[in-house]
Amino acid sequence: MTARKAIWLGARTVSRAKRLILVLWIFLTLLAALATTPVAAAISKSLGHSKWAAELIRGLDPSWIMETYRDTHGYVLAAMPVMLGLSLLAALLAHLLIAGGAISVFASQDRRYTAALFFEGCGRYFWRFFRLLLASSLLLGIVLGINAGLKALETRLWGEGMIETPIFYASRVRLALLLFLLVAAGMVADYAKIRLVVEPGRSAIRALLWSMRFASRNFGRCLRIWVVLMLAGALFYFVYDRISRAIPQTSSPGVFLLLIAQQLYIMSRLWLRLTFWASQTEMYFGLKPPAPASAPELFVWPPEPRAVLAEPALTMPQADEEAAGPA
Amino acid sequence: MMMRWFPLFAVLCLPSFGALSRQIASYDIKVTLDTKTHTLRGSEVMTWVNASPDRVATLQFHLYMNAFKNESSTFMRESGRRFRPDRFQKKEWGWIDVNRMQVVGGADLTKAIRFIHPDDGNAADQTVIEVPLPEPVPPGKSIQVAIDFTTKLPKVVARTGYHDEYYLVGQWFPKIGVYEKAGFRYAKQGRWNCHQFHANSEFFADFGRYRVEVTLPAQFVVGATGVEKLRKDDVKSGTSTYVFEQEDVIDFAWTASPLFQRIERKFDAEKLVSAQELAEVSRIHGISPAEARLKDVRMILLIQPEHSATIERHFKALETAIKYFGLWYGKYPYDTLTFVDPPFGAGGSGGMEYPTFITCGTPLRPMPGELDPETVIIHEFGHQYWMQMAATNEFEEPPLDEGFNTYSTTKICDLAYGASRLPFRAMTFNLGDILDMPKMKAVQLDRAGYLLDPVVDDLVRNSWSYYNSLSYSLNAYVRTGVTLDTLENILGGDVMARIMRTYFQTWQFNHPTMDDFIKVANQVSGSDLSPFFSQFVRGNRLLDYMVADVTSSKVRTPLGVFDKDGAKVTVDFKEAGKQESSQEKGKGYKPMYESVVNIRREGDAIWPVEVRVGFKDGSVERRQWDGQYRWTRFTFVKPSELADVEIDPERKLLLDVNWANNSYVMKPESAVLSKWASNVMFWMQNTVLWLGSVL
Repeated sequence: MTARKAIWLGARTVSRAKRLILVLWIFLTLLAALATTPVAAAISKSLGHSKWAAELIRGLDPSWIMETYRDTHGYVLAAMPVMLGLSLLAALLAHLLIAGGAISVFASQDRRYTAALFFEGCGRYFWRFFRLLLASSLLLGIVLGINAGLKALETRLWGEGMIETPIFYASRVRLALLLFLLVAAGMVADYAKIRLVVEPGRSAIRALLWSMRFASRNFGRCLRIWVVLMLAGALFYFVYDRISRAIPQTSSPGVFLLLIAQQLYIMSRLWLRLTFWASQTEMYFGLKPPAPASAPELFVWPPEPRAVLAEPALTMPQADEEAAGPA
Repeated sequence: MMMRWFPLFAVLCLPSFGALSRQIASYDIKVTLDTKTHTLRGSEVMTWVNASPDRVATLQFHLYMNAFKNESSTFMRESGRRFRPDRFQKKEWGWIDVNRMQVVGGADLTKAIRFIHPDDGNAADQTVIEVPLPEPVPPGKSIQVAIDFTTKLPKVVARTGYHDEYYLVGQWFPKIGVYEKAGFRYAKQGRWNCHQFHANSEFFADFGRYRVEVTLPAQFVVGATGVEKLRKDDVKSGTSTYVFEQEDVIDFAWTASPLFQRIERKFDAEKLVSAQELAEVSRIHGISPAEARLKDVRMILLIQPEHSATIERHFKALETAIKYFGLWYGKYPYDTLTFVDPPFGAGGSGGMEYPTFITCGTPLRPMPGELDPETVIIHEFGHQYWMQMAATNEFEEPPLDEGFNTYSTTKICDLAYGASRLPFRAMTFNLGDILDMPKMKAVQLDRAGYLLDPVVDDLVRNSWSYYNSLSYSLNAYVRTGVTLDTLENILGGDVMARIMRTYFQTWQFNHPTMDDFIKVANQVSGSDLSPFFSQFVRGNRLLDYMVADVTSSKVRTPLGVFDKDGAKVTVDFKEAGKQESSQEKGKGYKPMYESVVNIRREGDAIWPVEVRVGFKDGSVERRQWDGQYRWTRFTFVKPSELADVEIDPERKLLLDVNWANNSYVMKPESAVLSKWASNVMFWMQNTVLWLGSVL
C-alpha cells in the first residue's frame, strides 16, 4: 500500500460520507458558539445602536476592546478563558467520541456512513480512546520533556553570550524537531485508535505500543500521508485567505459572504481530518499489520462479536508489493 | 582650613560665550574599566556653582549604583528585583564606593559623608549622600570637590551594567543634586533636591560641562555622550584612552563592546528638510524660515553585526526624529547623537536615554511591518527634548518627561509610518499579517492603554507614589499622551503646536514644571485652560458622556376638549383620525415628527460638548451643552424622523472613556456584530480542530 493509494482511497471514502461531515460541522459549530456567545453579547451591548459600529467594521480599534472591557467590568474577558477552557475540554471529549464513530465507519466493510454505525462506534470506543488519551499523554510528556531539555541546553551553550544567531537557529531547529515529534506522536495515537477499533483488544497501552512499532516500521509511508494532507490543508488555507481578503467586509452582504467562506473552509478542514483517519485506516489494512505476534504470550483477547463485524481485511483492496512490511 | 572659592559665577553660572545653559555642575572625570571584575576605578573633579542667594553648607550627591547593592535598596523594594522583562541576578550586585572626597586644595570630607533617605526614610538605601562643608558656599561662588570612587557594575538589569563583554555605563559616578532656591520650581525655601534612585525614575540634574577620559582594553569600540576629542593607544598595556567632551548636558553615559559595528552618517538638514516644511513651520509660529532651519548632526550608530540588516532602518528612524522634533520644537543643538544597539541578553539596557546618547534595541529578524526599532529610536531621541533640554524633574513630575515624549513620539510615528499591525510574533512571522489583522495607529494604542485604568491617580505625582507600577506607566506615558491629544483637538493643531514650541523655547536648558507648561498653554491659547488642567492633570476626573435615550414619533392631533369660537369642541380618536387624513390629502403635506434626545454625563468630569443630531431627510441640527448638570434634553419638531445622534462628533475628547455610548442610530448596524461574532466563532472552530489534530 502506497501513501498515495491510501490517501486516494481515504479521500474517496470521506467524500462519500457527506452526512458525516455535516453532522460533525453542526457539532463543531455548536461547540464554538458556546465560546462565542459572551463575545457576541458584549459586542451587541456596546455597539448595538452605536454609530461607531459602522466605522469599526472597516477596522478594529483596540480602544473599543478596552472600552468594552471597562464597560463590562472585565466580565467578558474574564469569562473568555473559562468559556474557552470549557469549550476545549468539550472539544477534547468530543474528539474522542467522534474518532470512534468515524474510524468505525472507515473500517467497515462498505465504508458507508450510517448514523447507527457512526453513533454506535462513538459510544463503543469512547472509554478505550479515553484510556488511550491518558496513555498517549505520557508520549506527549516525553516529547515536551525532550523539547525542554534541548531548550535548557541552548541556554547553557549560548544563553550567556552576546550573539543571538546560534540560539536563534538552534531554537528553530528545536521547534522543527518538536513539530516532527508531535506529528509522530499524533500518528502513533491515530494508528492505536485504528487498532483498538479493528482488533478485538481493549488495552490502550498494548495498542499504543503496537502502534509505535507499526509507525516506526512504516514511518516513510505514514509520514507521507501526513505531509501530503498537511500540504492540502495549507492550500485550503491559502485559498480561503485569498478569498476572504477579496471580500469587502464592510456591509451585511459582504459579511454574509465571509461567513460562507469561513464555514466552507471549516468543512474543508473537517474533510481533511476525516481523510487523515480514513487514509490511515486504509494504510493499516493495506500493510497487513503483523497480527498481534507477541500479544498472545502476554494477553488472550476475549471473544467479542463486533470484532468479526469490524474485520474487513478480506474485502480490502489487495496490498501491493510495497506493502510487505516486516513481520 | 582654607576654602578656595572660585569666582566663576560670571563664567559658569550665566550662559557663557557659546554655551546654551547655566553651567551649574561640571565634571572632569578619569575612569578605568577593569573588564575582569567589571569594575570602574575613577576620579572626578566636580565644580558646582551656587546660583542661589543662600549660603549652602552641605552638598548632596547621588550614588545611584548602590541601588543594585542589596535587596534592601529602595529600587529593589519598589521593583521587586525586576525591571522590564529582566530579573535581577543575585550574584551580580552592583555598588559604588566613595574612597575619598576632598575640597580641592582644602579639607578631606570623606569621614563626614553620611547616607540620607529623603524620599522614603529607608535607612538601608545608600543612593544619596550628604556631606557637610567646613564653610558654606557663598551665593555666586563655586566649589570644586575631588572624588575618588570605585563602581562595581551589576549584570545588565535596569538601564545599566555589563553583559559578557558589553558595557552600558549609566548613573555610574557621584553626581551632585540640584540646589533649589526659594521660589524655584516648588521650593518654598532653599533646599537640595536629590532623590533616591527609584524603580521608575532617575533624572533631575543641573546642566554642566563634562570632560571624561575612559581607559579600557584596546579592542573595545566605545561610544559616549558628547564628542570624541581624542584617542590615545597604549601598546604596552594594550589599552586605549578616549576623551569625550560635551557642554550643556545634565548627565554622561558611555558604552563599550568589542563587537560593535560603528557607522557614522550626517543628518543633512538641507537635504532632509524641504522648503515647504520650513515654510509651514514659519507660518505656524510666525518665524522666518531661517529661524526654523535645522542643524546638521553627526549620527553615530553602534550596532551588533548580526543586526546589520537593520542599519538603514536605524538611520531613517533617527533622521525622522531629528527632523520632526527639530521642526516642531526647535533644532537639536548638539553636534552628535550616538545610538546604541545592545547585544542579545542585554535588553535591559535598551530603550534608554542619556544626553546625546540613546540606546535602542531590535529583534534579530524584525518582521515586516513591525516598527521595532523605529518606535524606540524616535522615543529615546525625544528625551533629548523632554527631560534633557527641557530638564524636568522625572521623580516629581514624570508626565513632563515620558508623557510629553509619548505625545510627540505617537504623532511622529503616525505621520512618518502610518498605521501598522501589532507585532504578534510567531518565530519570524508576523501573525498579524498572515491573519490579516487590522492596522492601528499609535494614537489608538495610546487610548487603549489609557482605558486600562483611566483615573486611579492624579496625572502628576511623585513617580513612586502612584497606586502601582501599572498606574505609573499609564499616567506617565499614555494618559499624558491622550490628555495632550485631547487638548490639541480642543485648541486646534496650530495653537497646540505653538504651545509646545513656546514651552520648549522658553524652558530649554532650564527646569520647568507642570505649572510652567500650564502658564504657557494659557498665554499662547489666549484662554483660561484651568478647568481642563485641574480636572485632567491635577485631578482624576472621569470623562464620559452618553446618549441615554432617543425617541422620534409622528406628531398626532391632540385629543380632548378645546375652546373654539366660544364653544367646546371634543376631539376624540375618530375626529383626530379624520383631521389627520384630511391633512394628509392636502397638497405638499409633510407629517411632523417630535424627536427627543436625552444626553447624560456619566463621569464626574465636566467639559462642554457638541451634540450632532441627524434626520432622515439629511438635515442636521447641532447643539452645545455645557455638561454642568447630570443630563440635558433636546427636543426637535421637524418634518423628518430622527436618524442618529452623536456627542462630540469629531471625537475630540480622547479622554472620554466610552465612545461607543456617545452615539445612537435608530437603524442599528448589524454587520459589525455579525462580522466579529463570525470571526470569533471561526477561530474557535479552528482551535478545536487543531486540538483534535494533535491529540
